Order: sequence, then C-alpha cells, then structure tokens
Amino acid sequence: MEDLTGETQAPSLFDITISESVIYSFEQICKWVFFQLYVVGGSIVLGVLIALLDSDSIERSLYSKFGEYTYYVAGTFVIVIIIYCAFLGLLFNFALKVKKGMAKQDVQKVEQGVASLKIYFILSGIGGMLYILTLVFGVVRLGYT
Amino acid sequence: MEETNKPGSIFEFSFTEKLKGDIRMAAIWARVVAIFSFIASAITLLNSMRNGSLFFACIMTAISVTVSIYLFNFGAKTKKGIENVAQDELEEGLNDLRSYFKISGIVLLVVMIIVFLIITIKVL
Repeated sequence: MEDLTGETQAPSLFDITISESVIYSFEQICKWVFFQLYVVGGSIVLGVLIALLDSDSIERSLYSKFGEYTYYVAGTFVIVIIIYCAFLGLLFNFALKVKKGMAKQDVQKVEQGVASLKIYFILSGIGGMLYILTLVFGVVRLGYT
Repeated sequence: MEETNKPGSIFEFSFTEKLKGDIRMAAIWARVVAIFSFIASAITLLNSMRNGSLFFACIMTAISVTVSIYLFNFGAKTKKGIENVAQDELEEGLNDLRSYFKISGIVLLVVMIIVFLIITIKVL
C-alpha cells in the first residue's frame, strides 16, 4: 500500500485482516479442493485402466458408432481430458500455494495461489458462456441438446 | 517503510492490495460462473420437459442450482466484504466457497462411483 509520497505503508488497523477464521476457511477450502482433485485423478486412472483392460470391445463399440472417424473421436477425447487436467492444475496450484502460504505466513505464496483461483474462475466463466451458447444454438437451431 | 513479514508485527500477515484485488476479481467471476450455471440449468430443464426425461433433469438441476447458490454467495459476499472493509462478510463468503468445493466434490465422487459401476456392469 503506498501513500502520497510513494512510500509503502503497513495496512490500516481498520482494514480487513487475515484472521484465524480466514486462515481456517482457506485451509478448509484447500482441503476440499484436494479432495475434488483426488476424485478426478482417481477417476482418470480407473478410466485408463478400464480402457486398457477392455480396449478391444471399446474400440469395436466406438467403430460401430463413428466408423472411420473412430480414431479422431478417441484423439479428441484424450485432448479434452488433457485440457481438463491442465485446467484443474490451476486449482491444484491454488490449493498447494495457499496451504503453504498460510502455514508459513507467506503472503506472496497466498497471492500466487489466489491468482490461480482467479484465472480458474475466469476460464470457467468463458467456458460457461460457450456452453450456454452451444445449448441455445442446440435448442433454437436444431431443436435438441 | 517497507512491508515486513517479521513475526511479532501485527501487520505480519495481512491482505495486500494485490491479494485483495485478486480475491475481488475471483469473486466477480465466480458470480458470473454461478449465473451461467443457473441459465444452463434452466435451459436444460426446459429442454427436458419437451423431451420427456424430466425426472433425471430435475435431480441434476437441483444439485446444480444448490452448488451454484454457494458459488454465487461467495462472489456476492466476498466482493462486498472487500469493498466495504467488512471482515464478517468476507469470512462468510470464504465459508460459502468452502461449502461449494465440499458439495461439488462429494457430488463428483458419487457421480464417478455410479458411472464406474455402470461401466463395470456393462464390461462384465
């Protein structure tokens, strides 16, 4: 925080503070974010295992639906999963840095973590907008979703 | 005077301007995401009324709306808390974000278990 002379000031006593309650809330948020990431990670591992164990029948089933485009569809699916993982990496970064920052009382770490959360919500917003446009297009133009 | 992080200072661990700005921005976008989620739920519900798959859509919409309400509250309360320097509202907002991640995590776990059960039954 800078005053008129350009010097950095300590925050006012009447400003919002990182109280015990805020620290507890952030720790709980990180805990549940990690829980969510474990669920997604476990699901991806299980999905890959099922795909490996039953690759023949999955390939046959996909081929009966998509024909010659089977490998394009499978490739697109894998790319979507990779993008989704990169997207969840932002949440992981948030939880890891905020947890460390809170434990070591390092504001810079907390700042980096919260910046990741901000980007996560911005990308979610853009994704949500595209999803709604797709839904509206599907309902209005094609008559279904 | 430089900002310090030395233990013992009452200012040792406080919100910096950047941190407040980022939390405020995250709150604004969280509210946008929640509003989009409400709209998407409404469109899905309306569409399912036409298609006749109302029961499943109602369950999905109820879950989606419940989760989104927490996200919306996080956005609204946290933004207000930071702008009005209201500690209580900021803390309430963060609690809503915790509930959002908690409920969405549990719902995700349940959905994943159901999906894997279906896949396993089909494969076996």
